[in-house]
Amino acid sequence: MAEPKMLPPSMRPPKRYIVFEVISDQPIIYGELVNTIWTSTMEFLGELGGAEANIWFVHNTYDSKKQIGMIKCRHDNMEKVRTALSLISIISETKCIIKIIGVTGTIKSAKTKYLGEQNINI
Amino acid sequence: MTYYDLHVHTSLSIGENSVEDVAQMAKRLGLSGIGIVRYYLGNMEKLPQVEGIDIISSVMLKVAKPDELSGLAEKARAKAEVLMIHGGDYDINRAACENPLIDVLCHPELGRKDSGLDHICVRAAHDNNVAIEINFREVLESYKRNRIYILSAMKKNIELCKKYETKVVTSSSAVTVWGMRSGRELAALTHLLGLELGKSIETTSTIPEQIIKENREKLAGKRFEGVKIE
Repeated sequence: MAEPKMLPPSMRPPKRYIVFEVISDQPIIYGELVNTIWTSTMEFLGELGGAEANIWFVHNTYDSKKQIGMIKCRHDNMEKVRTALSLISIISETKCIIKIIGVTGTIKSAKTKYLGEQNINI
Repeated sequence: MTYYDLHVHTSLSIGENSVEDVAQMAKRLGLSGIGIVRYYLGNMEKLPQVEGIDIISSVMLKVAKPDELSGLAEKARAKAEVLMIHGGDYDINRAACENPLIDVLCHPELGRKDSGLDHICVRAAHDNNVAIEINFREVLESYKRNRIYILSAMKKNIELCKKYETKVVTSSSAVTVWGMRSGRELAALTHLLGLELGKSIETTSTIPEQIIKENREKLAGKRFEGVKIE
């Protein structure tokens, strides 16, 4: 089946990448973390708010040892997503805090700034 | 940016964790100072100091009748770096707003379906330099319909505070370490409730810092009503 062509960069909606850390006394399973974030977003922002925020998980960047991950969202809904994340206090019966480490405009800068990857171009 | 949380409970009040545990978590969350809340009981001992973080002595007054407030506030003022009032009752909220000795009126909407404040209270709070608190724990621990009531009451209070330029303070009011949040995330909630982003960040940074600085100068005898000794 034919797929629509990718939009030119100037027409793509602006986005932000939120790098977060899960602070907990027991290790968290990533699938349960994703489910909890979806539930919290649905409860706090609702279906329409969730659609406007356009949340997307960048799965391959999750570090299960440090419990650091990344979420993509629309740039004008950043504060809503930040609050929805801060309203999470329990993930599958483990008490936790989701602490936001930083916000960037590209995955590359998020990796170099917060995930400790070396920038080859510099 | 230095962030402060003026309202944290420990085992010295209704909280579960010790001052040291709370201070360690606050450091991890990037806070510069935390206000350890104690209820006023006459004698107040000095709080233990933890390296790397500012431990602030916050005293909470819980009164049953509004006429008890001013006498108790005068006694507690000499021992408190931040003086707070346990709000919720309209008469107590109004008495707190009309008292210049008070620094912060906590959760004026606690246990109510309305906001607990009107234009008279908020105007008086502006005249007497009393800050209105946005309490994160109330939002965190409520669900569905109750959370909607609390958020709409807070939104109404912020609208009034914006109109009369009254100070707003955002705090976590955590009873365990898991209820604490970083300053920027507390500010995000205040921003969603209607305050501009810059001003909402001030509610967890410059406004608490200013309250602590002025009160420490007063306690050290360097600042009097309208006069500051350099």
